[in-house]
This record gives sequence, C-alpha cells and structure tokens, in this order.
Amino acid sequence: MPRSTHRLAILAGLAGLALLASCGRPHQDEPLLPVETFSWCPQPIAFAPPPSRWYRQGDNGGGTLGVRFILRDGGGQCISLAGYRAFAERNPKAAIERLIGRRDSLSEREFLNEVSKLRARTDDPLSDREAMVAASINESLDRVASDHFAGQPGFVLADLESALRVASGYQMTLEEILPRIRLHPERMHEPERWRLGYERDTVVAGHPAFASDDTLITDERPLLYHQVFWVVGGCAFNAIYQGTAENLPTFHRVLDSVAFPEITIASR
Amino acid sequence: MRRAEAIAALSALLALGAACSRREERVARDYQVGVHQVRLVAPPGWEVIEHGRQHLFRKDQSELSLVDVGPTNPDSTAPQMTRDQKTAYVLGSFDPSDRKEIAQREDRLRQGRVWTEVHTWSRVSHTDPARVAFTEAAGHFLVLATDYGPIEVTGPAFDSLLATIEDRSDRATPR
Repeated sequence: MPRSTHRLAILAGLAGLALLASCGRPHQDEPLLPVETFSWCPQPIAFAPPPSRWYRQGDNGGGTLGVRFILRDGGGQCISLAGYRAFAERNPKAAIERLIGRRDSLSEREFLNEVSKLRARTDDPLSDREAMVAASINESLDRVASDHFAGQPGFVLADLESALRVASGYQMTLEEILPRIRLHPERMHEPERWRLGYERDTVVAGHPAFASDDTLITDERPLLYHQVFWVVGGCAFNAIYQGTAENLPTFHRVLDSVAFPEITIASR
Repeated sequence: MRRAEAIAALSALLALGAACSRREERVARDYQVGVHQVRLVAPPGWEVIEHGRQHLFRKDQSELSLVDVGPTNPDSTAPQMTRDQKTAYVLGSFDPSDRKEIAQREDRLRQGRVWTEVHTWSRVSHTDPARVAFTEAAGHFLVLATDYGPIEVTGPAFDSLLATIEDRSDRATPR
C-alpha cells in the first residue's frame, strides 16, 4: 500500500472511531440551560435546568414544592428537584417577625387572631428537639394573650420576642428528617417494584447530603432511581433521578450546578 | 382580449381592496379605558371589546386586556408607593394568589410615558410565562396584560399593542 493511501486509511479510521464515540454518547456534552433561581422555601435554590428536550412540570405533592424535568419520548425518565415546604412552614419564625413589625397597626381582635395563628405544631414532631422548641414557643404565645388582657403592652412585646428567639434558635437537621423522606418501599404503592441499593454520604454545593442509589422496576425495563437529600438554611431539599445510565451524567451535571443564593428581604 | 383586460382590472381592484382593508386595521383609534383616554392600534386580526374600565383584545382562544385598575395612591394619607409596591399592587389586582413570580422587570419610555414591563412565570416550575405592563396617568394605573392563550400568540400581540398605546389622559378631563 502506498504511504499516502496508508495515511488516508488511518485518518479515515480515526474519524470513524470519533464518530462512533460521539454516536454512543449523543447528549453527553449538551449544555444545560441558564441558571434559574426557585423560591419553594424561605431558602432559595439556584441551578441550571437540563436541556430543553427535558420538558418541565410543576411538582406539588407530599409536602414538597418543586419542578420535574421529563425526557421527551424517554419512557418515564425524569429529573426532579424540590423543597420540603411543609417542613419549612412548621417553624413560625417568619410569621412572628411579621407580627412584631405590624402589631401596632392591628386592632385588638386582629392582633389576637394573628397570635393564635402563630402557634407551633406539636402533632407528629420531627424530633424530640423540635417538640421541645414548639412547646416553648407556644408557652411564650400563651403569655402574649394573658399579658395583653392584663394591659401590659411591654410584656406583650417581650413575650413575642421570646417566642421569636426560641423559633430562631431551631433549624431542622438532615438527621431529623431523613427517616421520613428517604425511600421506604413498603410505603410505596407497589413495593415490589423498588430495590434498595447503595447509601452514601455526599456533598451538594458544599453542604452535607445523603444519597441513595436504588432501582425502580418498570414494566419496560429497570430504571436507576437515585435520590439525594440535604438541608440548607433550615430548608430541606431533594433531587431525584429516574432513568437509564445513559442520562445519569445529565442529572449529576444539574446537581453540580446547585447553589444557594443569599436570602434577601424580598424573597423571605 | 377584452375579457383578459377585465380580469386584470378586477384583480387589481380586489388587490387594492385587500390592501385598503389591511391598512384600515392598522389605523389608530381612540378608546376610553376608565379615566384613561387612550389612542392605540389594535394588532391585526384581534377583536376589540370595549367594557368601560376594561377593554379586551381577543383572537381565537387568546386574550389581552387593557385595564384601569384604579388610583395610583389609594390611601391618600399614605406616602407615595415605591416601585416594588406599585408592581405588587398591579400584579395583585390580576392574580391575588402567590403562584406567579417576577422573572424580569424593566422600565421603558414609550410614547412619552414610563411603562414598567414585567415578565412573570409560575413560581414553582417557571412555566406559564405571562406579561404585564403598566403606566400612570391621570392619577390611575393603566395596565396591559396577557390574560390567556399561548405566549407564542399573546406575546407578539402584547408587544405590538404596547408599542402603539398613547395615553392622552392628561390632555383630557378625567371622568
């Protein structure tokens, strides 16, 4: 074979290999969408959504608020991120702050009505620590009403500030909520479809996180079911991937883009 | 030969008629929207429904509205509203729920007035984009909004309409 022909054959072979490699990973290098900030909980979260071939839907269920990105013609493959709004709403800190700021502009009836709405939930506590904090907040709020009727406005403010101090001193932890939010096949509609896999500690945007790499058996094929949970600024979040190994890198790239903007007054 | 000439003349007449009717659609018209005396050019093909304080622009299943949402200072004893408060007031007059959030906001000078243009979307998923723009004249807010229909249809109509709205209220006596 002449040398020039030999070179051509090598070049053609290399080009063919490159083409094969790119065909095997058609979407690996597909850029994510520009970063967006979501305010599902008091702590905003920012991340780059997956490419537009993953269409999005709002996700509001099970005490969470979030967004689900569903792969077009992907046979049920999706990436979702969500915040646990119901957990965040258990702490009345923000509502106490608001009431302290506007108490002078309210009538007596309005003020007492607002105070009654501040009571921390004591049913089904997340932990013993949360139960103690809730009881302490409610004791301070009970004193608000009695001091108000005793004509002691100074004491009323002190009681509200005491409730605020206690509420501000508590932030839920990942350990407290993990038993409630991680996958329990026996609690699912069809428990036999789930296979628990590997659990590991990881990090999301510099914050400690828990990850679980499980499997979902669908009628068509088994799908990876990977979950990551973390808590930032007293708000819990999850990221879930349900899909094939081929699209798992897209999930990881979305997760790697997660950041937590500072809480501004406007977003509180 | 004569027949050909007649056909040509008829075609020319028809073309002229069509062109005239198209031009007619783009003619500016005056409307009274609440206290606002407004001159605007409706987007081609959009029907204008005059409802006094609220005028609707409809095409198929899509709708825009131009509304006088009320005084810019409802509580005369309160200090002047900030830009954020004005935006919240105007958006609240359309959808009191907290399902929408502001994706983008900018002030632009149009036809001699400052319009605040707001792009909103679903707070949860950043889907369902919508548009709202407002200005102040004669002590009242004048608001243009996309009501319903796909943004691919309502967005261009919104831009087209907004570019032509001239609020002439300050030249007229408010009702």
